[in-house]
Amino acid sequence: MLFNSYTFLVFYAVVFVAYVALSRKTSTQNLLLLVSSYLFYAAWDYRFLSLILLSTVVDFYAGLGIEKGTERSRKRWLISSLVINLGVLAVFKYFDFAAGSFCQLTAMFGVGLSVPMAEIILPVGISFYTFQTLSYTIDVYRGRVSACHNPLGFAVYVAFFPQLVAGPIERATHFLPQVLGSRKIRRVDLAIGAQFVLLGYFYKVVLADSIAPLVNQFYASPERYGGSIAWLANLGFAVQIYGDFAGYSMIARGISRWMGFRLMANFRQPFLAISPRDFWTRWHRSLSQWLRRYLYFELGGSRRGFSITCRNLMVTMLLGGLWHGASWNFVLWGGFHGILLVGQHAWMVVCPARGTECSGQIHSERWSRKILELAKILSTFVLMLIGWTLFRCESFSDITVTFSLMFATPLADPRWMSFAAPIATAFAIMLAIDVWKEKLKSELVFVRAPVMVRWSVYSMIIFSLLSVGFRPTSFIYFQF
Amino acid sequence: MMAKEKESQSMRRIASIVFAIMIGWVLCESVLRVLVPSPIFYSTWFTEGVHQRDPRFGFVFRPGYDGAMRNVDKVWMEPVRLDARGFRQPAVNHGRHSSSSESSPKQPVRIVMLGGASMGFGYGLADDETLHHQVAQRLSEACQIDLISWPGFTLGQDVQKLTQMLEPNQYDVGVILAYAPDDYVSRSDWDTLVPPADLPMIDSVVTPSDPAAQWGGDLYWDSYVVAGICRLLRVPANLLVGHMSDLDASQESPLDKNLEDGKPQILMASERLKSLGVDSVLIVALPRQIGMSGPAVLPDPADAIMIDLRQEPGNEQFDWIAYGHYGPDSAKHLAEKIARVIESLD
Repeated sequence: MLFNSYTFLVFYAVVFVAYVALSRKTSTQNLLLLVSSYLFYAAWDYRFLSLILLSTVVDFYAGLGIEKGTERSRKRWLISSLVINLGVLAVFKYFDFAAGSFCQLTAMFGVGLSVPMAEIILPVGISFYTFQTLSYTIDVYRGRVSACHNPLGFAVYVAFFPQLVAGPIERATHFLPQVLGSRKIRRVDLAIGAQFVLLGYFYKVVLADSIAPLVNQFYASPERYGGSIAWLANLGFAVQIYGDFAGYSMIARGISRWMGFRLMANFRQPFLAISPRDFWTRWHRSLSQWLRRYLYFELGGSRRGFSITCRNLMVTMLLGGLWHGASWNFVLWGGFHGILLVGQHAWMVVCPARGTECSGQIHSERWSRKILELAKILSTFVLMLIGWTLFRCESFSDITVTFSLMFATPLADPRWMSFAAPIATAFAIMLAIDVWKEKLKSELVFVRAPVMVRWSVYSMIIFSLLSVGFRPTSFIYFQF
Repeated sequence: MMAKEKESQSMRRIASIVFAIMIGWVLCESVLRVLVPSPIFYSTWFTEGVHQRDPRFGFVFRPGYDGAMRNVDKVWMEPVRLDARGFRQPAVNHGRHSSSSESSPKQPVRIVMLGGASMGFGYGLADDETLHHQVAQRLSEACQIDLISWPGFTLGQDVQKLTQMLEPNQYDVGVILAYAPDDYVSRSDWDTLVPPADLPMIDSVVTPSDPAAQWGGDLYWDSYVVAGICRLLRVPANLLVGHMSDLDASQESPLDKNLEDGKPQILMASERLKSLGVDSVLIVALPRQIGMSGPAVLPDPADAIMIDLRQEPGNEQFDWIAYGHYGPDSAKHLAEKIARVIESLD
């Protein structure tokens, strides 16, 4: 059941009406949320509900075991939870990839071993809810949160349908109290939720889905195009993936807000990032915070010297890339970002003044500071575009072709205008909204806008949605 | 006084909201025109330029077209090249049994394949995967199979193509592909050509007729918003119409009734081919992914051979691609059966 389907609109309307009707008792509301979440997930494949149930039961009891146990048994509970959760993830997501890669490797050395493939369909959202439950167990072990004694509440925390299949990956410290505590539906939440939902649908249905055919057209046979279209298609993919994922996150946040939940903001104007490190504080924030907290810091973070920090950065980003999908292009993408972060770290070690404070002294003039900031934004954006090529291409040969088009072929291609106009328009709209948010230092730009502006924008969005309708396109991040 | 002021305030508020909505409409129309340059209310199943207007048929496939068949999301693409007449490339087999001892080389068997619309055309299949290529590969004699089926064309139109664009008497064998329910129905006007007066063609691709366009009138083509609302209304309308037609279908079986009234089109086409000089005619009843078209028992043609493959997907592992079209395995399987019958002809 996709957010961008009429079935979901009817489903949510029914759930919402029932939720409001049950507003007197939190536990009844939670029961409704649990049943509707399982129904929502079962609409994809009811068999995989067993995985969610397994994860829920294991981590619920692991939490209790860690809380009550001795130091030794606490560790055992934690390890059991990690092994089971990561084991399920490994079997369902990575087994075929590992087996296939192993076979290829042995073939390279002339051994030619063949490992039978599991050929299991990837359960939707498995990476998201696995990471969410893992964060709970680790936080209980670290003493950051006390174990949950309410099985119903914990099951809702794991399976809450607005964020079940594509996040945001919520931490127990932030989300579990909301599930267990009483909730109120306030008028202001309805208004804020409306902005999130409308903007989310606009990003996904109008912007991302309109650009997707052009991007797909290029990547279906990149060798047929020139350099300018390769760059435009990359820009188009940046727009598409941002619209797609940020759109999903905003809808998730909006429909949750209407029910009194506050999910974390997964994006914070990523097109305006001034460095690779800054990019990861703006893009898919729930994942980057998870990786930083539960992987990078656990590895030692930046406290053990330069080379260990670089290693930690690389490991974190490579695994972060692999989290996205069982494919080498995602590993490459993660590696590319790892190199950028290592490069930035090295630069800041070698020239600490240039990286931070000194820039203010050298470029004391306001305009020159702005130019410098613009240059940083632009260069970071170009680097991110190069990274998106690795993310989007399905094979090494496509990566080679696309890079050779971008860097070694004349830009001229007479068909560039048919790509440029729609992609540039979508990009300009997203950029304008991002700049507006950045300037206001708030994401509630439309809620706080004058009535005329708000109604104009909202009616434009509603008319656009009516015009393009729901197309049968899934969200890119569902595959992860 | 206060009440009046309140009233005028609320009037001003309503006016400003109405004005804002109008701005929203204009903004939407402007943005979408740039963002979605090709019309959004139809989907092209071929890349641009596949069709051209034609006084006889309304439209034909463009001779020498070099483009691609694609899915509605345009992710999937299969290249397709049409020949100088707008048909898929003929399938040529030089023969496995050609011996050098023969004094005069034997002429290749000439076969024409028609009917079946997009299924016959091989929508979604690469050139060497189509039914006619697969049949040619399986024949032992040297042969050339010309395929004249086009997506969206009826059997009657295909017979007209044969008479107007080719020389029918050059063919030894004619293979009639029956797929649509209409092929099994008798119609007196089955091969009459009435080109549509108002043919919507955008980017040189003929768009399917859509009732939503009629509801919106001229505005449908001018306004994205009107087109969108009409398309949205089509969903409940289709549900309603589908329900009504289900009720009609339960009352009588029009296909069987038509068969009793007169000759079905496949037999009419077979007789026409014979009269035009085609030596042997083979009628192939093709299977569908869901359900079966035509009556349970097919009519027995006097001067042709009929093979019924409609039950084949039940026995074998068929593959389906591009929203219910034959995949390469289905084409191979069907070709095997057809080739076997052609081999048995003199």
